[in-house]
Amino acid sequence: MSTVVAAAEGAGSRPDFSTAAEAHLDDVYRYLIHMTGNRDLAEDLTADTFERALRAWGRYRPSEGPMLSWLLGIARHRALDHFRRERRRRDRDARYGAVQPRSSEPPDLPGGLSAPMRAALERLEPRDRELIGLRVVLGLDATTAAKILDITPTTCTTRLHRALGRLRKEVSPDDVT
Amino acid sequence: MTSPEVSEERLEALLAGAAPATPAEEELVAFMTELRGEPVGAPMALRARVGALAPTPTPLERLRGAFTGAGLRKTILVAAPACSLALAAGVVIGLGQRPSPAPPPPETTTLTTTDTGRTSAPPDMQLNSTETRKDHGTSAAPEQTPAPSPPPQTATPSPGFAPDTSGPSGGRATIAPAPVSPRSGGDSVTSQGSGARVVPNAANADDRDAARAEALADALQDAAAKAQRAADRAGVKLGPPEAVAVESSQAPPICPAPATGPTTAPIAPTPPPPASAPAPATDAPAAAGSCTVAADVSVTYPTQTNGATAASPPAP
Repeated sequence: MSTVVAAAEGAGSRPDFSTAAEAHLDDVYRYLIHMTGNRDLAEDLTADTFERALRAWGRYRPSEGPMLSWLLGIARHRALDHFRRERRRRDRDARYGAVQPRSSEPPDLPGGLSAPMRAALERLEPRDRELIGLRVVLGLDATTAAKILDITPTTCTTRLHRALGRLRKEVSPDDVT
Repeated sequence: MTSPEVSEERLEALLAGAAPATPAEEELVAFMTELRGEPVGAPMALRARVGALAPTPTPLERLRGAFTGAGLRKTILVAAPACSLALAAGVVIGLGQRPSPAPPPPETTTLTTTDTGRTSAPPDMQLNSTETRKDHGTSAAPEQTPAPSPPPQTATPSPGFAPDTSGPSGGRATIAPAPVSPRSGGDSVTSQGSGARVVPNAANADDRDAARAEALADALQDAAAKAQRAADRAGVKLGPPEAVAVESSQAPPICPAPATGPTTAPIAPTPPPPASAPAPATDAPAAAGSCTVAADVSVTYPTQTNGATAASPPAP
């Protein structure tokens, strides 16, 4: 986050949209990659997120939380809408038999991970992967992440504890670079 | 992380940047560092797409947008139900606060007090004072316009009486000069009250007697209360009642007219309870239908002034 955006949010004022988009674009994109496991889809959803944010720019209140959590909330809703549409489409295709439903593709997670870690992340549930993306990758605190996920901070911490435990089961310490 | 070495609290602390303290925590920190990996930046194509978005509309543009096109529809969708609700609430509240029909004017009683034996009383207390109140002893008396009533009949003559302007249900309390009683050393207070009772079945003489006793009790209480108020206003202290005069009157046409006439009965120095009031001198024959039994009572109290003996002239 740029210092300009941080200063504006700290003062309780709303930064300029282009400035805020430039400051939070990478974070939103990384979050959507972890959530969707698809880089192309993450790009589309990121652009959609900022378009929606621009429309709703007047409704953002700095007193309700940081700009990043507001943007991540929009991104999450856009991703969930996308998944619902995709599920309805697959159900409809399967019902009429016109098109065989596609098998789920392996997630396209960001690089820089070891092969065992990537494999372990791919086997995680999407919601656990999303939580790890928010808490570990983006470094959000429990309260902010819980607000985005619409859960309590305690639930957020417990879920992260379990998700990291599942990862540790499949990844030995020697595989960690 | 299923290892019990790292608790949830320590996990939060490590995420916040705390230094690992145990080998398990060191492994966890390395694990999270691996997960963070290399920071992934958005591709340039995405930056261009986001950068091409329209700039933030100014407040004036937003205000203009609220009244055009879809904004106008939203405004109407929000404002119309709100206005309807406000209008309905206003109507409901207005109906709820609508004034009810005016209640009948309270029955008034004129209480006239004349203090002639107290030289230190304030000027307004030496004049006739009038108060309006509800009379508790007139449950059967209809609302009537004030009409002159015959002068009260009391056991002690009261030359200081003012004209009674109350109706049949009214009462009057008068402080008048009276012969000094051996045990009072002051003035006397004569108070008059009245009571009335409706007897639904007038055929039973016992019912009429009971109603008459109740009317007398009401009248006694009324007279005692008036005398006490008048005495308080005049600053004198009432002694035990000296005499009670009872007069039954004002029977409706369907009730045989009772024999009227004052009856004066000296009573004991202690204040008499209503039940011990002397029986009325009326003895109406039994008749069918309802009957109103009314009674007027005059009670005379000797008064004692505080400190000095009242220098009131004896009653003529």
